[in-house]
Amino acid sequence: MTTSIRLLAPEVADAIAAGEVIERPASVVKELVENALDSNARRINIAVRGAGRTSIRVSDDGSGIPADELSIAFVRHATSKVVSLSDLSSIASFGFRGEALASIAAVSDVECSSAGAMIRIRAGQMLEQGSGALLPGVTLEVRDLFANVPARLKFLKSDATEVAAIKDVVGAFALLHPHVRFHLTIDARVAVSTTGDGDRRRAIAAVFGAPVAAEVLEIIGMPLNPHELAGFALSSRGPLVASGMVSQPRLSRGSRDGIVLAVNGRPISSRALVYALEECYQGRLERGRHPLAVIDIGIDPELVDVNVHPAKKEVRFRDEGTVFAALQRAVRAALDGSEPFRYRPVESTPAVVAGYVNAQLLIHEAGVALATAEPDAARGVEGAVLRPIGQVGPGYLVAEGPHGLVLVDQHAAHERVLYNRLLERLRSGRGMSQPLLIPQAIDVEPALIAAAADHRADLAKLGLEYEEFGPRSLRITAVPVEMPAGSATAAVQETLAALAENRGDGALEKAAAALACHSAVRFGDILDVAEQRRLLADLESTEESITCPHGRPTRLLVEWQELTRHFRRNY
Amino acid sequence: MKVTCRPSVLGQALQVVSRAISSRTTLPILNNILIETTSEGLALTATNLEIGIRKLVPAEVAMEGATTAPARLLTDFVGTLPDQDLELALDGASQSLSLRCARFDTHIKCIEAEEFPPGPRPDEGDRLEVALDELVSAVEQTQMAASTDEARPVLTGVLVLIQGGSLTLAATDGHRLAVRKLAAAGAGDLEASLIVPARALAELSRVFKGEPGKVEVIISKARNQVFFRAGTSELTSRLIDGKYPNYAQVIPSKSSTKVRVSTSELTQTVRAVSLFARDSANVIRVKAQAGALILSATTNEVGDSKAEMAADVDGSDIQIAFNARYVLDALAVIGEDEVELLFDGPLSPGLLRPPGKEHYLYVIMPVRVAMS
Repeated sequence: MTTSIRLLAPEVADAIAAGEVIERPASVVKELVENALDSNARRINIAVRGAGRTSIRVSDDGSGIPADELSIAFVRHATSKVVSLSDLSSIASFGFRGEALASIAAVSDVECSSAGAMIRIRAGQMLEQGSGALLPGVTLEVRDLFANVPARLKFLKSDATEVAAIKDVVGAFALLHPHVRFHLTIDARVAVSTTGDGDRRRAIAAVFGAPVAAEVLEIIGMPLNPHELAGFALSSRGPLVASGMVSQPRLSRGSRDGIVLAVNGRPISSRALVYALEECYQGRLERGRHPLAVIDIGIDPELVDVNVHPAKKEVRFRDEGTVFAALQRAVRAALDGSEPFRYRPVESTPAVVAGYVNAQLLIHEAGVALATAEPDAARGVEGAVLRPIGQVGPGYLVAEGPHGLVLVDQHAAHERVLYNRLLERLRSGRGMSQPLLIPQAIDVEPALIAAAADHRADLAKLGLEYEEFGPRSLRITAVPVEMPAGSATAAVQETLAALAENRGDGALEKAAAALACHSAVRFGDILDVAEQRRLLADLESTEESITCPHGRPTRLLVEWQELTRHFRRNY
Repeated sequence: MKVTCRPSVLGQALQVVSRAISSRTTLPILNNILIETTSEGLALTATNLEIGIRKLVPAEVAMEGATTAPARLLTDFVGTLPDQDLELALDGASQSLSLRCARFDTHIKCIEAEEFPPGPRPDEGDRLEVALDELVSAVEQTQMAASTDEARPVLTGVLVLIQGGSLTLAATDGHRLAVRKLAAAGAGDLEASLIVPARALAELSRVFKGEPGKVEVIISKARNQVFFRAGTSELTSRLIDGKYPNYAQVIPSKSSTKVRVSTSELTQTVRAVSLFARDSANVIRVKAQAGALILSATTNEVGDSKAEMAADVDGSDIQIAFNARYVLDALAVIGEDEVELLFDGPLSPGLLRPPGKEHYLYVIMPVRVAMS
């Protein structure tokens, strides 16, 4: 049978196009919330029933749609946001393709009312048009989503998954727009509720919980280097700024769920940007742990192309390198305010959660509670003197600091001290090495021989020198001064393995970490008081000292107030 | 078995013998001490299969026998007893050792002596004799230079070279080398090269404490065990298999600078100055010029320290850097009022030795620093 080529019927074309924009209930929520934000809404209420399949209702208090334009709003490529082609190169609004409402209307039963007018469209067909309630903004209800697209309906995941996706979408917007009040209910139960008072920390408390909010550091601005500015000046109308918050190393997750990235308020997914962010945590987080972050990059719309993907999930930066570098500087600057790990007894957790519940009822009280957790409070810990008390267990040091009792993992701490020292030598090129009286031949795999040959000069800066000695062995001629005489073999093998595994960025840091690990005192070594004092003093004067180069914590602070509370001395 | 002895003597012997018991062993029997009656009294033996210690304790033997008792418990218990006659009696069937002393009547569960690994006995093999105090000091002067790197087992031992009627001990961890010669009697034309675990040698001074002047050294026929015997005490050790590096070639044969300085003053100065060598991993700088030895160290955030000492300096001026710990290790054991330092340029090994004597030398590799 032959079929001739024909133009698709408009409703078929619409349904196909809708598939690109609307793939699940969460996409509907995303499009509607974006529209609301584009209309300068300050309050957005989202009510979801039946995981979004039964009903999604979004109402806002924005500028609304004029009554006479209501019907045209649902026509494909109808938009108020872009007028001419040139506007496309500087899109400042969320929507611009003019597809969202048409796409939603193509696959569901939509009722929309604004400015006293009402329209109802089902599967792309207008059912009703008339007058509605005279309320501010737009109220839009989407019912029976995908009822006419059984294929799509079949591919929806479980209710829980779809609800989670909706929560993620609303949560992301709530975090990125703390000045807008978001209220999401799932089957009449509150899922996300923010105050809209512009305080991002409070927004984080509402979305991720108060314990998280207390542990995030604010990113202040994104400084640009002068030479980078010069490059930007040609095209740039506004400065490049990043705002948001990132978690301190002591707070992390096993997945990347807690990372919310955005460009000009629009949540995006960008592997490259996530990678750039996580690079800032190298040496601060253990392998497999990920930070929490809310970062909004404010950039001149001309320098970014959001018209890459129908759902606008991906963006392209005109100068990716500059953006990443600036982001990393900002994040690293924020992380310098990181606090040490703190001892928190398990039973204190409910109290904190209770504080979070209060946050919605008693805003002022919550504000005070959060303010006490400002990082500034603990900044005094850095540079303060730790008084050694002794060594306990196989390898922990106990010390007294100004804020409480400090427990230190001696190996991790020494590792960090040595690591920073080695990196400093790498940077300054002023290495120190202990040449060997009797050069030592060690066997290594051929792959590592190649790594050894490639990195000879860099490792020499770290103090490690060698020459090839047959096809499968190296002759070590010098080691870093810190390395004990007995550790060379294992250290060299691990260092070379680190170099062979990590090509490019970060490989030398990994190598330095391996050298530091083998040069550090071992967990279980006995340290005398002088050595303890020295290690603690070194740790205090070391940067990023709260974790070892592999991201494990170096110390734990048991605060005086924690002890006071435990021993009931606060009455 | 039934014997009577004094708790004070037995307790001391138990303490020494227990040194051979390793804290981590998978063989429960190795936590026990073998107790046997001999013609001279009671023989105590403990081993971790690498080293073994055996001591004889004077005792009246009423009935012969043998068993093994848990070392820790027995040692701790005997150590608390009043110094009155202690009667040990074994019930062979239940392997229960009863200890009667003053008001105590105690029973300890034991394991049959047959289960104890039969240790090698020093019956045959090449033997020679050295003075005990000489051997103890030679060990002290060398074993701290041995390596702890299990990846290079050979260097975890001390090389014992028997040649031309004398004994040479040498140890190195690749950073420094210590060599000590001592005279041996009865070695004849025996030539042997043994690598003895440094850990075993470290026990020598304890095991032979209080024993009379001479130590007999016996090397097993198979050249895999060495025995040290003095008086009623015995230390055995497995030998490390392998080829020791040719240490002689790293001993500097010439020097361009020769310094002679007071040992105690140098020790004290190095110790003080090295407090400022923190950031640089204990590296101190040494400068020798006419009449003076200048030590210095700097750490950016901490401060710096410099000390000038009067010294006899022969030859050209020099600036060189060392790990202070390696220097202190040698100064602590050199046992002379003055020490001689020989240098041959800032990158060549430096040599420490008692002035005018040939029996001891200590070589240290200098640290390479960017001299500013």
